[in-house]
Amino acid sequence: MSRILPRLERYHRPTRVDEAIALLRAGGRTTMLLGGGVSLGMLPRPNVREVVGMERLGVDQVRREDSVLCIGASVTLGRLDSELIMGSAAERLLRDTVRRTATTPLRNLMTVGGVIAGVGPWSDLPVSLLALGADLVLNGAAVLPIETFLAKGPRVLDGALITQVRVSWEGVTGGAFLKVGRNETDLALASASVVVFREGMHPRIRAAIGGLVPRPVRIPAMEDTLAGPPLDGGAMTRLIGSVVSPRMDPRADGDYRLALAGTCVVDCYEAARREACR
Amino acid sequence: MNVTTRLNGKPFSFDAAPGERLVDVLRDHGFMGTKFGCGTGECGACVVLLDGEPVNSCLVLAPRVEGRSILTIEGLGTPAAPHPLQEEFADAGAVQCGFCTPGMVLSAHALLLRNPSPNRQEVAAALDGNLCRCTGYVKIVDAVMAAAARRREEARP
Ligand SMILES: Cc1cc2nc3c(=O)[nH]c(=O)nc-3n(C[C@H](O)[C@H](O)[C@H](O)COP(=O)(O)OP(=O)(O)OC[C@H]3O[C@@H](n4cnc5c(N)ncnc54)[C@H](O)[C@@H]3O)c2cc1C
Ligand code: FES
Ligand code: FES
Repeated sequence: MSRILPRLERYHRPTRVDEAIALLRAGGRTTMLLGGGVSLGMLPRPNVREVVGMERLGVDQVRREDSVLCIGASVTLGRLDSELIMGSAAERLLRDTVRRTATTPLRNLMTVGGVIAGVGPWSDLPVSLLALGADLVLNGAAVLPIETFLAKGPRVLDGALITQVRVSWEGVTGGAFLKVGRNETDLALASASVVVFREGMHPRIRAAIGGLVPRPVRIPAMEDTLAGPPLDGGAMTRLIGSVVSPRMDPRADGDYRLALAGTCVVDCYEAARREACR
Repeated sequence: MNVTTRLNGKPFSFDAAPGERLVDVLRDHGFMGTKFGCGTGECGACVVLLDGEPVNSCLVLAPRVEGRSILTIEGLGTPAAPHPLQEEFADAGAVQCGFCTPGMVLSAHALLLRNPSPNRQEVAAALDGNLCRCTGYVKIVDAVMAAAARRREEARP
């Protein structure tokens, strides 16, 4: 028998967010907030002594308010997949992204809050949430743009819980996500998400890439270039390479990741544009 | 800590250390059909259904199943009364060493409950979290398609 958290002594199931925050503060570094727990498969946490489970906090609803999709942080990716509606370009993009994330049984565990807070170069959903310009609700109150969260990293949470993710579909007319791994369920070697918004007469583009650097990034120069005359994957690769230094690991070197990202961005834009023109 | 669940349709309570994995709890209680492979969510040998959905039980802490419903392969069929999926797996030659089979069958069962008429792509997608090192998957997909057809046939008035 191998314990997944070998030193765990207590498992708390708070029913209120303030209770969860108090438990996390009191426990300090050896207390872990647990969403789906899937990160434990990647990053063993041998020093954790107390866990604060999210499952009874009541942050597990998917709602639509005005033109905003509100996703509770403990909604699993499996559940999100079944709740998204295909009539909305923004929700279709989220569904496609969710379906390219990990495997069916893992998606039934992973939570939306957990995949954001546990962000890394492997992250898929945060790439599309960044392209969509989503907001994170912290502790049920404060709002933090996901762009700020991804730029600064999870430390910016400073002990706060992500309780909800808000995605506005206002003006979203097309979107596409592409991910390349060694097989269908592999972690991304590179990924991209592109969203086309209509604002008055003019389309606006937001584009994000994943897999290359520690967290998904949005590169405004990439968006300006996409809005101009058509260009090929090679030119986009050079543009991305002038802005980021891609990481390398035994799975892929930096140049290969760059080439994949360039092609993904151009192909995503084409797909998003086609959808927007429909 | 004491945890109360329903296991294979019956009330089930167990004592476990908070850091124990569900797969270990099940195996310690004699439900040996749930296999332990990688322990990191990669292979699917440990898949059980939690409230009807397949999950990797190696990544589920025992306290998380409080009040929930678990289905293991032992709850689906028995050697004396196998489930149609189990029969079709055997008939199609979809079982070689058998290590992946309980997880495969449970993932397939969850799919057929949700979608009684899947196509081959949908079957493959539903089994994307279950690795098989022996069969090459074709016969596994054949078996699920055959079970789905049989279910539809049996459901006819
Ligand atoms: C085998 C395997 C395959 C994977 N494949 C993919 C893949 O294809 N694509 C992909 O994107 N990712 C993949 N991942 C990574 C996975 O998405 C992350 O580990 C993610 O963090 C899991 O989400 P979770 O809900 O299970 O998080 P948990 O494991 O519960 O938590 C992760 C971290 O986030 C914190 N946290 C959780 N919820 C919140 C919250 N609401 N507010 C603040 N902090 C919180 C936790 O304290 C912890 O530090 C894979 C992981 C494994 C093990
Ligand atoms: S043992 Fe759980 S996925 Fe491999
Ligand atoms: S039959 Fe041997 S692993 Fe699938």
